[in-house]
Amino acid sequence: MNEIEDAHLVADAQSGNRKALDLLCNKYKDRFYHFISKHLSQGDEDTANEIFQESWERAIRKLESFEGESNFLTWIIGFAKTYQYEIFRKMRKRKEISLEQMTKMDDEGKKMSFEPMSPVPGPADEAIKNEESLRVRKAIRELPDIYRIPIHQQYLWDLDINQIVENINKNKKDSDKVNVNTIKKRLERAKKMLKDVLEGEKS
Amino acid sequence: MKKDININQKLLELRQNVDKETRLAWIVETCLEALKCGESFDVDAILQSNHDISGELKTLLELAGVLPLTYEITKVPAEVWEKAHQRILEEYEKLYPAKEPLKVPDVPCSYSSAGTFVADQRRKLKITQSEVANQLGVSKDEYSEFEGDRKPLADSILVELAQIIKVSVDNIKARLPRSYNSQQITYRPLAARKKSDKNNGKK
Repeated sequence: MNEIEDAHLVADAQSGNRKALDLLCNKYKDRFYHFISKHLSQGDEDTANEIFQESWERAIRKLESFEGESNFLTWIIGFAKTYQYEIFRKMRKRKEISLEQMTKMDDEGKKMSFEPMSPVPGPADEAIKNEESLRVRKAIRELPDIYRIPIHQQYLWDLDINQIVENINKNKKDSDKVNVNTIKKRLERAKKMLKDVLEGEKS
Repeated sequence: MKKDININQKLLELRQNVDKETRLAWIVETCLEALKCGESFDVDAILQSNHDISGELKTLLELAGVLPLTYEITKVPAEVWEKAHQRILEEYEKLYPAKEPLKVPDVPCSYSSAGTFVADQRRKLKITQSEVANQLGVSKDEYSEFEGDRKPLADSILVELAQIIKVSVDNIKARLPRSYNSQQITYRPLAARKKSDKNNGKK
């Protein structure tokens, strides 16, 4: 997948170039549909089609907000997941109504039981948390490769120090290989750099 | 004053604070970044550490080209794409309406817009300044000065120019300044100019 080409296509589409939009859509339509039908529609073709159509429409409406920092495919999948969640919520609501009806039936002497919904954090809490993490993520992206890579592997991929060392030493000559202590030092240095950047932003 | 930040906590929250979709997107992006940097890594270790999203993550890594595809992608049915494409275009048209064709202004406007208008039309037809100048029988500098709004062209040359760039001569003339007076321009008929230039060249 050519990321640079994608960035150009998106930028062109954002400036009103319909041909660029068509190229972008054609490039991702099958991969996007595949993901939806495999992970979001639970094998139901009608749901897959509905999610596919609705999320494309939403993505185009928000095209201006795509900053090219993420992969285009994962970006449009975000819309598909939101829509899938909405479908799920509607279904749950319908179930809740029927539960209310069941309570009425209770009064008539028929016993019914149901589990209450689990408490979910509000959208405002989620937004604050996401924003803070976005800031940290942005600061990590600015780090030089030798510091960024171990930080990504430890904190985003959730790998342990030995796995990180193994990854970094893969396909490297013996003379270029690093040991656990070097990676630990790089991680410490990276954290110091991040702390400086983030504290600088806050002050 | 600088605010003291607990960087370890912030980094740990990177995985805890974001929703699954964001985490998924970030892991895919970082894998793509690592590949771009020529780094090797063990995908199985990543999938294992992120077992709660491993199914979607694996598919995304395959679709993004991080992992080789071992199966055929489920293609979007033609009729579903047709509908989605239609809706995409409708949304896109709302955001970026097709530019209206240039209208002839009611009142002759500034001289500069005539040159710009002609240059735009010429570029649309992919004709160079030299080609136009050659067809008009004027020097490239002379023509270039017209497009640059530094010198007018005779009425009859404007008629020829309008034919070359496929617009009406009124459309060009309407953009000329009020002070423009083609009568002041010495005009030699095109055929005579060509003949004379040819003879001069031969000499």
